[in-house]
Amino acid sequence: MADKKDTSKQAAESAYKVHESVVISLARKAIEGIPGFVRFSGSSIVSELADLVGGRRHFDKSVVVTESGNDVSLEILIVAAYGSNFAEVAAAVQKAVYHLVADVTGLNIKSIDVVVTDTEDVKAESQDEADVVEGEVVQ
Amino acid sequence: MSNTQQTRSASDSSSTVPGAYEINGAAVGTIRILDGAISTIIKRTVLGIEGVARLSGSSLIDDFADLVRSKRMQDRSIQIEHSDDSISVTVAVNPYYGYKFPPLIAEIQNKVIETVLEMTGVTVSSVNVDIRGIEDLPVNDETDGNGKNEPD
Repeated sequence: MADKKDTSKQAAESAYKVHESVVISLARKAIEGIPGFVRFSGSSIVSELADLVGGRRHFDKSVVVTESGNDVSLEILIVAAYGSNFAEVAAAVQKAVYHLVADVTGLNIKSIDVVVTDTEDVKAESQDEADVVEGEVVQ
Repeated sequence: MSNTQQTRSASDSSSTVPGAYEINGAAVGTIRILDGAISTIIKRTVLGIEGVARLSGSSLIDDFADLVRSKRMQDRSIQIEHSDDSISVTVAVNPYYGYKFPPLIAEIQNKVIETVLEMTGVTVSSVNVDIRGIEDLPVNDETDGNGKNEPD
C-alpha cells in the first residue's frame, strides 16, 4: 500500500495502532446520554452491505469504522427520540464523537456519517432531572 | 475513494439532510434519515388524528406486527418516493364511520407535512391518502359480564 521510501509515513504508522473496536467503544461512550439519542440501531442493512462489500469494513452492528492509515471514517446508526429534531441530534452525535475520538486517539477523522434509522419514545421520563449529577448509578 | 456511496436497497433509501456538525466550516460528515424513520413519524402522526381507525390492513396482522416490532405492515401502508430534494408520501388509512373524508384527509396531509418537516427537515411535496376501508367506532360496552346489559 504505502510507498516504502516514505519513511515519515512508516514512522507515523509504527508509532501506534488503534484497533477498530477501540474507536467503536469511544464512539459509543461519546454518544450515550446525548439528548434525543434513544439507542443504537440493530442494523441488518449495514451488516448485509458489509457482507456484500467485504474487505475493510469493521462493523459492530451500529457503528461502522472504515480505516485507511491514520484516517478513519465512521458511520453511526441511531434511533432518535420521537419529537426531537433529527438533524440536531445527529449533529450532536457528530460533535461528541469527533472530539472524543480525535482527542483520545489522535487519529485523523475523515468523516462521521450519521444515519437515523428509526424513531422511538425515550424510555425514561426524567426531563427535569437531567441536571442531577450522573456520577452514581443506583441499580 | 467514495466509501460512503448510497448503495441502499430501494426499500431502505434515505434522505440526506443539512445541519451536520462543522469543523472550520467543513461538515464532518453527512446526516441521513432512512425512510423507516420517516414511516414511523407518519404512522404515529396519522394514528394520532381523530377519526383515523388504523393504517389499512388486517387488524390481526397489524397487531401482531406491532407485537414483534415488524415493519412489514407499516411498509405496506406507507410508501415513500424520492424526488430531487423532497419526498412524496402515500398513506393508506381506514377512517371511522361518521367522519367526513375531505377535512380528515386535509388534516392528515397537513399534519404529515408539518411533523416530518419539523423532526427531519425533509420537505414532503405531496401526501396522497388512500382510503381503502371504513370501520365502525369501537363500542364502549364490551359485554364482558359487568351486568350492565340487562337493567332490572
